[in-house]
Amino acid sequence: MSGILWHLANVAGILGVLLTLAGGLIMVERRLLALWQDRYGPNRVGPFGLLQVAADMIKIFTKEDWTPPFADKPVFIIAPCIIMATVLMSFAVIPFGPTVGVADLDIGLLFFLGMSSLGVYSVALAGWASNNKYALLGGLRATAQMLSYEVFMALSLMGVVMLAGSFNLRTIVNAQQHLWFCVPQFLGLVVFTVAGIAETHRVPFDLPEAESELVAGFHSEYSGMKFGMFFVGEYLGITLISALIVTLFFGGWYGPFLPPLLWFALKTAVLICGFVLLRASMPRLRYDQLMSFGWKIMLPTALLNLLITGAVVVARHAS
Amino acid sequence: MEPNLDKNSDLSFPGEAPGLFGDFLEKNFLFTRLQDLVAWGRKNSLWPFNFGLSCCYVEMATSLTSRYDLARFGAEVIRATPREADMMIVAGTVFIKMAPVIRQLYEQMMEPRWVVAMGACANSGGMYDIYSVVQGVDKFLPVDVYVPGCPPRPDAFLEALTLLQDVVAKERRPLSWVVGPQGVVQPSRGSQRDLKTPLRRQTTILPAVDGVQDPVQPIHQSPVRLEVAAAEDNAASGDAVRALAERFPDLLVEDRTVRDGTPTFWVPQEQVKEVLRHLRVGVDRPYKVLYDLFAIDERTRVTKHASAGDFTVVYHLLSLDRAGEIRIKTPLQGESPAHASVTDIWPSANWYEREAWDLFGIKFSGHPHLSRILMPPTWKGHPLRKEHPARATELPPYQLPDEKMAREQEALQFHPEQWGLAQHAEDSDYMFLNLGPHHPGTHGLLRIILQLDGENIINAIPDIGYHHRGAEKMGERQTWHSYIPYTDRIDYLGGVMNNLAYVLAVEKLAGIEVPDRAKVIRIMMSELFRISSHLVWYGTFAQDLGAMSPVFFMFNDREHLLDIVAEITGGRMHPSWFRIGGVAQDLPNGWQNKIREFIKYLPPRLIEHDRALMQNKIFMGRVKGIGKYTLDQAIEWGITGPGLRACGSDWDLRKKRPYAGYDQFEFDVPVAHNGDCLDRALVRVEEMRQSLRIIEQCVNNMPEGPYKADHPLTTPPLKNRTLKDIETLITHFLSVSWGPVMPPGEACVPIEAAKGINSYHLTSDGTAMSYRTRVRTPSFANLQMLPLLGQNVRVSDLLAILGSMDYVLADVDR
Repeated sequence: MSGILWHLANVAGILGVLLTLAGGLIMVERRLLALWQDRYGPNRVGPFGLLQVAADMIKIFTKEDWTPPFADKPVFIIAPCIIMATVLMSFAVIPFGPTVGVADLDIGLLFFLGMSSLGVYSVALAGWASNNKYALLGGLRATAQMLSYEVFMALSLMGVVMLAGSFNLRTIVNAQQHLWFCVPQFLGLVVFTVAGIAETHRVPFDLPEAESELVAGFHSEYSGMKFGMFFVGEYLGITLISALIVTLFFGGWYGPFLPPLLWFALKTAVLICGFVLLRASMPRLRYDQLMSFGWKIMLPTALLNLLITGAVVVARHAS
Repeated sequence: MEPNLDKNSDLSFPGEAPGLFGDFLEKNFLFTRLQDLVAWGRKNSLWPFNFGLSCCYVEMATSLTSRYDLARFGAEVIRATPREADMMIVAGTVFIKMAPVIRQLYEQMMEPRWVVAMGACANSGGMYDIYSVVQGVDKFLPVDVYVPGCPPRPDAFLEALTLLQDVVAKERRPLSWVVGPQGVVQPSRGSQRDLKTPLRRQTTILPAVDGVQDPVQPIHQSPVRLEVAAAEDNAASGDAVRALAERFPDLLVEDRTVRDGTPTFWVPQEQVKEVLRHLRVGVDRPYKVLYDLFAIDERTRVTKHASAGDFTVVYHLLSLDRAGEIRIKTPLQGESPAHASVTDIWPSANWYEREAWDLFGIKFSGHPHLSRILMPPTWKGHPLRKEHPARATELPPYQLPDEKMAREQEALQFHPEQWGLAQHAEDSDYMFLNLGPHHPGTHGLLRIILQLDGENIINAIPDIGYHHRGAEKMGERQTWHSYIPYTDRIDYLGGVMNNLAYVLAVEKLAGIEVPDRAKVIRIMMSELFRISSHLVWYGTFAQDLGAMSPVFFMFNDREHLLDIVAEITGGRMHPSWFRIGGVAQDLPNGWQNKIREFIKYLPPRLIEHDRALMQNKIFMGRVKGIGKYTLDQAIEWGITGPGLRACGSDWDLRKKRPYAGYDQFEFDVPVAHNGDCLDRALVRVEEMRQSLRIIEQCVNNMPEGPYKADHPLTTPPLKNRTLKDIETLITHFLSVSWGPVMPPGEACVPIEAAKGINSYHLTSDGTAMSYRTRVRTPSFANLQMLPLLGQNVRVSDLLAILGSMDYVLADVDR
C-alpha cells in the first residue's frame, strides 16, 4: 500500500514540479535573454517580476478560445494536446534520482524515441488543420525537419546503449558512475544535442514558426490556451531534452557532496541556460541548408560514432 | 492619501479605505475576488501585436530595446499573428488603402483586445490632412489610449502602456463607447474637423501673395533654338547635347527656366521616343539610367513655358560614366492625354509610368501592365491633377461600413491571370501566397504576391501604395518653408538628410549661397543620420535572418547617436532642422564632446557586431550568393546607393559630383563586387566607418561664421537687423507669416542619401508654394527590381533579399 502511495506521490510530485518548471522556465528565458541583450526583462509583476508567468497564465486561460470556422475542428483541437501528452509521457522514463522517477522501463530509451516521433504529429497536424497557408508551410517544414532529424537522433544514442548494454535509463546512469559518457561518446553528445534542438524547433532550427518568414508558422491560427499548450510544450520539450542529455551523457544524478536530486536539477539547469544562450546568439538556417546539414553531416557523424563505438566494444569483449 | 507609516494602525474595516496592508493586498498577489485576479493577469500580460504602419513603429520598436525595455512590464512578447495578441498599437499613418486591412487584423484578434493609437497620424491624421490618409484610426476602430507626438518618443509609448494597464485593471472600456438601447455603440459625433469641412472646401486655393509683394513677372519664353543654348557648355553632358542637336536639328527647344544646370529640352510628343532611344544607345557614354520619370499638370500654371501643353512628361536621364544628367520634357494635350510607353527602352519605366497613370491619368500605350500603383484599385480620379481635392477634410469623412469593407477586400484580391501567371504547372498546382501588406518580414506596408512551387518562388509580384501619404500633393499647399517637416518623413530613417535634398533645391531656385559653417553642420548631421539609418538596417537585417539579439545592440548604438541629435536639434527621428539658407540654430555649447565620444565608441562596437553577426557561419550561408545581380542589371533598373556599389561600381554622388561641400572631405567609397546580399551588407557596414571619418573631420575643422545665409529668401531670415531697418523687418515679417516667394523656375539637386540618390524636383510658379513637387526616392527604384531577384529563390531567401535592399516604405510610396 505504501508502495503505491509513494508511487502516486512520485507521479504527482514530478508532474507538479515539471509544470511549474515549464512556467518558471519561460521566466528564466525572458530574464536571461534580457541579460544578454543589455536589458532588465520582466521585473514589475511581483517581487523581481516572479509573478509574470502567473499573470501570463491567467491571461491566456481567460483569453477567447476560438476555433476558426474554416479549420478541421477535431484535428485542430487535438494537435496541441499531442505535444503536451507526448512530452509529459516521455518524462515518465527519466530517472531524476536513485529513487525518484515514474517508470523504470527496460526499453526506456526506445519509449522516449517513440514518444518524440509521435510529437511530430502535433506540429504537422496543427499546420494542416489550420487551413492557413502560412501554417501549412510551417507544418510542412516541421514534418520534413523532424523526419530527417529523428533518424540520426536515434542513431546517436546507440553508442550510449552499446556502452551501457541496456535501454534502461537507470542502468545507463549507473554505468556512468565512474566516467560520464560525454567523454567516450562526445560525438554522440554533439549529434544528439543538435537533434534535440531541432526536435524542440528552437533557434537555429525554428523554421516551422520562423516569425520573419511565416508569421507564426504552424500556430498562426491558434489562440488562448490551445496556443498556450504549444508554448508550454516547447519549454517542456527543452527541459526534456536537457534532462535526457544529463541522463545519457552527464552521469544523471551522480556528483559529489550534494544530494542526487539537486545534482540532476543543477546539470539540467545549466543545459537549459545553454539552450537560451543559443537562442540569443544564432541566426536561422534555411530549409534546404537544414536538410543537407542533417543528411550530409549529422547522419554520417552518427554512423561513424556508431562504428567506432561498436569496434571498441567488440575489441574490449574480445580481450 | 497620506502614506500611513504607523504599524499599529495597519487595520482596515469594511467600508473604510484600506490601510497599508490593504494596499499591499491590492497591489500584490492575494486577492479577494476572482474578477480582480483576472484583471490583474490581463493587465500584466499585454502582448502586443507586431503591427506597424510607419515612422512611429520605429519608435515603438525602440521602446523594446535596452534603454527603454518594454519587457519590464511583461509586454515584450510581440506576437506576429493577431490571434495571440492582446493589444494592437496603431503606430503610424492610417492609409485609406490600408484601412480595410487594419480592420480585418483587428477583427482577427481575440477578446479581450485593446487598441493604442500611437502618434499624431493615428490619432487624427496629424500633419497628413491629405486625400490618401484616414483622419484618425478611431474612424473605424475603438481606441483605448491615444499617444500624442510625431513620432512619440519611446518613453511616451511606455507611459501609454502603463495607462492602458490601469484601464485594463479596472476592466473599463474606452469612454467613447456608450451603452445604448441596441447594445454597446460608439456614438457618431462629427469631429470638429469634419464640421469645418464645408468651410475648408471653399478655401482650397489660397490667394497668391501677389497682393503683398510685387506681382510676379510671367516669364513666357520664346523658344530658344539650340545653337545659342548654354547647355552646350555643360561639362558633363555638353558633347551629348551637341550630338543630339546634330542628330535632331531644329527639334530641341531648350528650357531656360530650369536653374539647376541640367540641360533640359522640350521635344514634341511624336519624336520624344526617338530622342530618348538615341540618348540611351546612340550617344557616346550613353544615358543608361532612367533616373526619374514624372508628370506635371500644367493647366493652371501662370509661368508655363511656351512649349508646354496641358500636361508634361519629364524624363530625367543619368549617365554614370559622365556623372551627368539630361532632362527631356514632352508636352501632352487634352484632359486625358495619351503617350507612348518607354518600357521597351528602360524596363524601370514600368512603375514610373504606372505612377503617372495613377496620379495624373496619363495613358501609356504599349505599357505591359498599366494599372493603379499607389492608390487603391477602387479609387476614383487622379489625385495629383489640379482639380482633385488635396485635403482629406475636403472629401466626405472616411467611414468603413461592412459592405465597403467587403468591397475593398474583394478589390485587393489577387488574380494571377491578370499578371499572366499560370495557376498550374504540368503536374502540380502553384500556391499563391499573400505576403503582406502587413507581415513581420516586409519592414512596413508592402505586399508581395508569391507564386510558389513548394517553398520555391516562381514569381514575386510586389504591390505597393499602402504607404502613400501624398507627399507630392502636400508640397502644393505648404509654403516652401513649412514643407521641410514633410521631407523628414519621406525616408523616415534618414532624418535631416531628407531636408538636405529639399533645401538644396530650394536654394538653387532662390539663388542662395550657404555659408561654410552651415555647410559643414549640414554634412555632419547628414552623415550622423546615414549611420543611424544603416544601424537600423543592420539590426533588422539580422532579425530577418532569425537572429534576435543583434537588433538590440544596434539600436543601443543608435540611441547614443540620437542623443547627439537631440542635443543639437532637439529632435530624434524627425528633427526638421535644416532651413532654406542654412540650419535652424547654431550648434550648442560643448557640442563636440558627445560627438567625439561617439567617434571613439562606435568602431569597437562595429567590430563586435562583425564578430557576432557578419562572421557567423549560418549568417554567411544565408546571405552569400543570394539575391545576386550584375552591374548592368543594376544600371538598367536604376539602382543607386549601396545596392549599386555592391556590384563593382564606385559610383557615389558625393565623390562623382560633390554637392553641399563634400569635395572638402576625405573619405573612401566602399565597393564590393559580387552584388549579393552579403556584399550589400558589407558595403553598408564600411560606409558607417567612412561616415565617422567625415564626422571627425567636421568636428575638427568646423569653420566659424554665420549658420544662415544673409539673403532675403532665407527662412526664417536673420533677425539681428530687423529692429534697425523697416524694410528688413517687413521682409522678415512676410517671410515668417506668408513664407518666402520663390522666383519662377525649376530646380532639382540630387544627393547621395542613405539608400541611394534622392532629389526634389521643385517647380515654382512664383508664389509662396511649390507648383509641383516631385520626390525622386531611391527605394522606389530599388524595390522595383524585386520580381527579377525573387525568381527561383526560396521564401527564406526572399526575406534576406528584402532585408539587404534596405528600403523604407515611406520612401517607396511617399
